[in-house]
Parts: sequence; C-alpha cells; structure tokens
Amino acid sequence: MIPLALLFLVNCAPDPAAPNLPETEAPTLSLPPDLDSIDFATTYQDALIRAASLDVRGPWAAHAETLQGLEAGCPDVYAGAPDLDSEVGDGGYSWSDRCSRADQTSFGGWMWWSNTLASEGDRADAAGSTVTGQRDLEGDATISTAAADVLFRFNGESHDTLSRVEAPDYLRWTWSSEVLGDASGSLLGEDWRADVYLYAVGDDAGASGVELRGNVYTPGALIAERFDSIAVDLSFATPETTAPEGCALEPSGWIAVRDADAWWYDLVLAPRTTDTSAVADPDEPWSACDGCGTLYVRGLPQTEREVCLDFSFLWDYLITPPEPAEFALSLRDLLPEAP
Amino acid sequence: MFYARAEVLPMPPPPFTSLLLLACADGVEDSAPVVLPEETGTLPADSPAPWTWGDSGTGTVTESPEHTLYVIQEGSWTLSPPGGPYTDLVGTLSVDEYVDELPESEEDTGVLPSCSVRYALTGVVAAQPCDNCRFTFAVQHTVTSGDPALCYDPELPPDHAAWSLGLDEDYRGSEDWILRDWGDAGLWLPWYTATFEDDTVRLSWSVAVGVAVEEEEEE
Repeated sequence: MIPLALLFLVNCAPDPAAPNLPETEAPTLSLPPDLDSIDFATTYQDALIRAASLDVRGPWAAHAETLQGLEAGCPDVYAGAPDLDSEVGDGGYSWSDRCSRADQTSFGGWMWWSNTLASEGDRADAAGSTVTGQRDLEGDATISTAAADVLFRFNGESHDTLSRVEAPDYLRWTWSSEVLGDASGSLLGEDWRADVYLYAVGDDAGASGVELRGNVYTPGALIAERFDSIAVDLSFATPETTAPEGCALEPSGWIAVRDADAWWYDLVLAPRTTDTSAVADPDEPWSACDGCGTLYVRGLPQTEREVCLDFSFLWDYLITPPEPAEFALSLRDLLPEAP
Repeated sequence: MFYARAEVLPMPPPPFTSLLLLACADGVEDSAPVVLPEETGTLPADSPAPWTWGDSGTGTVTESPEHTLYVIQEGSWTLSPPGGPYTDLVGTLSVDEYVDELPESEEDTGVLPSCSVRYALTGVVAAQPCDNCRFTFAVQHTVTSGDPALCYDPELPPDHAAWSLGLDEDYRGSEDWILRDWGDAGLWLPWYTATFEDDTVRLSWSVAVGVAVEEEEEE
C-alpha cells in the first residue's frame, strides 16, 4: 500500500509547461504621515477610561428617566413581554407602543426590563449580609421630545449582576456588566454602539481586579480628536492581588483604537497566561512586564515607538460597582396613583 | 508507561497541509521568501465601511394590548398593643389577578382569577425604620394558599419573604402609603395605599396592564 503522503509527492512534481511568473515585491502598507504627533499614552488611557465606563447604568438610568410621569396608555405597559414571540427573559415588565403623551413626549418601539435585589443577613452583624442584584434591559425604541429631539434611543440589550458581602470592617463585591447594542439621546450623554463585557472584583478600597473586553464606537466623541472606535481585551489586577508570576505593572492583553481612515493602532501588552505562543517566546517585546506595550499600526510593529502607561489610574475609582438601590425600577414607583 | 512531568511538551504531529508543503518544497523555484508582517494575535480587522445608526423603534410593535391584566392586592394589619406604641402586627394579604374580565361583585363566581394567592402576615418592629414613617415593621409573608410564581406581577413577595414596610402618613400630598425598603437597600418605594384607624392598617394596590397570553385554539 502506498502511503498517502507519497501520492502527493508524485503530484507535486514541477510542471515544465508552467509559465514563469515575474517576481513580485512584498506588498507594503503606508503609515500615517503624522504618526509622530500622536500622544499614544494619553490616547490609550482615554480609550480605556471610555471603554471601562460603558456599562448598564447609562441605558438603565436613561430609560428609567423616560418612564417618569408615565401616563395611562402611553406607553402601554405590559406584565412580562409585550408578545409571546419576544425572545426576552421571563417575568419583568415592558412597554410597547407608538404614542405621544400630553407633554408631547413620543414613544415608539418596545422595551423590556427585569430587576431583582435580594438581601440576606445583617451587615451590622459579624456574620454579615449578602446582597445580590440583577437587572436586564432589552428593546428597540426611540423616545423623543415634541421638537423631535431624541431623549433616548436604544436597540439592543444590557445586563448586569452585583454580589456584595458586607460586615463590620469588611466589604467584598463582584460585578459583571454587559452591553450589546447602540444607544443615543440627550439623556444618555454620549452616543455609542458597543459590545462591552466588564467584570470587576473589589472591596472597600475600590476595584482590585478587572476584565474588560469588547468594542466601542463613539462617532460623536473622538478620542484625541482622531479615534472613533476602541477594541479591547484586557485583564488586570492591583499589585496587592497580582499572583507572584503575574505582572502588576500592566494588564495582559491588548487595546486598539481606530481612526477615521479605518486604520487600527494596536497596543499589545503582557501576554495572556493562556497565550501559549507568547509563553513559547518570552523574548517578544510585548512579553516584558514593564508597563509598556508594543505598538502596531495597520498590523505592522513599531518597535521604535514603545508606548508606556501608568495604569494606576485604573484603580482610582474608575471602576465602581453600582449601589444596590440603583437596581430599582418598580412599576409602583412609576404608577403610584394607579386606580 | 508513566512519564515524569515534562517542561517541554511533545510537539504534535504536523497537520496534513504541512505535509503537502513539505513534500512540494523541492519543486519550488528558489526565491527570497516573502516576509509578512508579524501576527498580532486576535486583533480586529479593518472595517472601513462606515457604520450608520439604526432607526430603532420602527420594527414590529404591539401598539395596543390584546389582553388586559388586572392585579388586585388587598390586606390588613392589626397592630398591638392596642393604642401603641406598636411592637407587633398580624395580618393578611390577598393577591388576585384577572385576565380581561373582573368579577362584578364578591359573589360573582363566574369570573375566576388567573392567579390567586393568600398570605398570613406577622411582623415586629424593623431595625431600620424609614425616615418619615409613623411605624416600620419587618413583615414576614407566609403563603397559605396559591403560588406567587404563577402570577404575572414580578414583585410579589415569595413565601417566607421578610419585607421592611412602614406607614408614611404624609407621602405625596398627605396620602397614607405603605412604603417598602426595596431589596433592603434603603430605598423606600410606595407599595400600597393605606388607611390607618383603630390600630388597624388597611392596604391595597391595584393596576391594569397589558399582558400577552396564549390564545385558546378554537375547536
């Protein structure tokens, strides 16, 4: 029996009839001429702040604000989803309508929300208390003023979960947030399209560990007056909670920003511990634990342009979990004078 | 055979495509290898097409409910000791939900609720009173009949739930309201309208909202 590989050997013999193709040069990519003028350290810091600040709280609060002064019938409120074909979770409340209130605020579309908060124990007791909260917001809706100014527009979903253990002289929390969709309007403050996942743990001194990954597009608020998009996949821990083999000077992962020409500028930091290719080559410049990353422009390494950041700003209360009371959005509060 | 833990993992066999390339190497004209940019991991690709904001809220929208859900919650607290200051309460809470049709009277048994729950209530003075409340109790809810999970209202107390509830006699225009410490988060939300007289608090809350229900198949 002839081995299979040998069969291919026979087939791979040069074909004398094949034309001689002219040699071609490797393709080259041009770089932006003003590369030297970009303050990359500030740019990436601003990008990180923006990405880490995008969580459920923005759309949740904006939506809750639109429901204040709810009128009977505008919008129509439903127990659960507005129709059985909705692929939202169980329970909760929703609205679905095209209508205008007496103050000419108009509602178009639908929104569904669900929120729970459970508490056990007494935080004044040595055994402490555990608070667990969850909220979900999904929909496709636009709420506008009489002058057609958009108060809040949302198309997507967002969820977050908070767990907080508290006792005298003790606080420990974990919080995860996910937003997926696009949102705009004056109640939001900043228009964005995003899929961002944030997971953070911390204590009374603030966050001590963060995972942040996803994409953000903010066309109306450029970073460094140039970049409209962020892509990020980072995890980081404070020096106090970093494992001995970890790096306390910089996150692991990467962050990228995109300019209006759709050119990506990537900053590659410490490799992920699961990145076996990096482990296999510890001499790569981005493998060093020095607070600096390797810049890539359009995928080309810019080894002469090392970008170094002081990442301690991440721990200066940039990432704070929501208060348990923020999970409230009760129909009873919206309709206190129901018949 | 057992192996000691190795620092270097054995190389996996080359994939089949590698075999093909290796086999063809001798047949390729010598030329300078094309040097490609280094890989940068899982970085995003360029996306030059401009993204435009979606026109949200213009899709399929249910503009008016096909069905109406009536939620009726009523109850009472009996406070003791008589005349106060109060330290305890006992009471009841009833929850009934109807779809599309309400009974015309209490004797009307032709309209059945889609959900009916009864609670027995007991309470002691709460450790954390609400600021403006005349009294605040930690109220234990014990289901005596029905199942709250079968009701539409997502904010019903589950069995054995302990809620902090207080009577505010000056809430929103001097109305009597029972306020609830929502999630024990220190956020006091209006929960039931109330009347307080002769050591008794009567409370109620009702609302009519839309609801989506399975349509019964016609025979």
